[in-house]
Amino acid sequence: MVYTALVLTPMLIVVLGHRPEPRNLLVESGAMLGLLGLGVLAMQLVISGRHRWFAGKLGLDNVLQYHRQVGIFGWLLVLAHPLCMLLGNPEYLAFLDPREGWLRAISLYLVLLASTALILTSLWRERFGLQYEWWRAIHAALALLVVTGGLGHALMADHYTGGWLTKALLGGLIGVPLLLLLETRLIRPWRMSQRPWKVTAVEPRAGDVTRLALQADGHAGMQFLPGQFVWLTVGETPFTLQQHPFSMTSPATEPDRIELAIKPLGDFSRSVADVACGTQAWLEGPYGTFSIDASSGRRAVFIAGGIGVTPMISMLRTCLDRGCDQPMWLVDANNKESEIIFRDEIDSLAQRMSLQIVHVLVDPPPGWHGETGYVDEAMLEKVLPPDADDIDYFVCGPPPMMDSVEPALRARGVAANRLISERFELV
Amino acid sequence: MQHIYARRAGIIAAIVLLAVALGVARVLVG
Repeated sequence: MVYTALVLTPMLIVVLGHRPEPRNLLVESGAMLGLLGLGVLAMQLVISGRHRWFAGKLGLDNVLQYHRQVGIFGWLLVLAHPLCMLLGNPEYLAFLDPREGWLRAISLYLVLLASTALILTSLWRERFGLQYEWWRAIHAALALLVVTGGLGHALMADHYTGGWLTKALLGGLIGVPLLLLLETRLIRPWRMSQRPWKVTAVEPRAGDVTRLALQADGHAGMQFLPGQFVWLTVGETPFTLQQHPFSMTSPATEPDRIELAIKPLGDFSRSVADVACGTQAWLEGPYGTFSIDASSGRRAVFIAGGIGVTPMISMLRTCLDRGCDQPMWLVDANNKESEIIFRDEIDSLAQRMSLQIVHVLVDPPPGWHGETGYVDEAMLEKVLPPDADDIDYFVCGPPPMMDSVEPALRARGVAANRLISERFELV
Repeated sequence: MQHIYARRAGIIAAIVLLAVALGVARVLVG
């Protein structure tokens, strides 16, 4: 509701302010679509800024899914705006002519091109062979161009924005998201620079995973909920776009000593194995709503695929430290036996708490005693207890697994509010 | 599950916003 109201504000400011002679329906619709597009795209800066007051309760991955959907909508509005205006009145072709007003025309071209590039580079980043860091830099720069260019264009159109008060209100309104972008890129890294961490261990683990241990350097560390994740920066300075999200595997009971498990999925995660002990690092966060309330006494079922087991390890370790005694189940699915991440730790947890583990392999070795195949409804029926209101389900894994497990759990009667899942395919 | 709701929320927001924008345009034309 708040989001909708904020998005509509630019439109309402201009409509309630200066009221010029009405034009035909197509032109007025085009004008409103343009103003709506400006509101939608300006709010995109707020949505994606990892502001805890906005994304805290919703979960960052959900917010980014929404950001993605709404971004495409904003782009369609940007395209529909000139199209409607021109169809309604061909005289608006003058807006595209630099001789009639070069700044107005250039800002229009800029917004059209930059927003199209923004969408294409996000939807097909991998197809373009664009590295994640470069994509982040380009995404931020294009977003800034689109919103400032869009604001400039709206002010120069001078129809609804004829009055000075309207201009000032619109400028102020769009200025706030622009300032928030500065907060994200400058003030936040500066705050992080005041709370450095030191890499204390870098260990190779099964499944090509690297375990990275960090120690708080001169501060009390970071309070987090088990299952949450942080954005990690390693190296010289926190003022860099080399920032990547990873789940904690350490228990929340040790805020000054954080462990991350990193699988080589991109350029940065491939290079983590070469990081030297003693290297400085910075953490931004914690983020995420994928967490267990260890004190609730509720039973928990964890269903993990591959690296998706990491947040669950943090939850289980925290439960152990806090002496929880409610029964728990962990279904840990992997392709091969050699890829089972933290197997020793997981098996040792089962000895010390009321935890039942089900290892599932797609490609089992001869003599394998665990489950085989993909996690589906029949397997869940076999390995899990009957569903009950006091059981929460946590699911984290690759998208195809999530797409099959979530409906399978729903088919078993699991209510949506007891099904907590996390997806990591952000871009 | 939540990501499906997040996507749905995006689509619903788009439809509502579009309806408001076109409604306002209609009112402006009179």
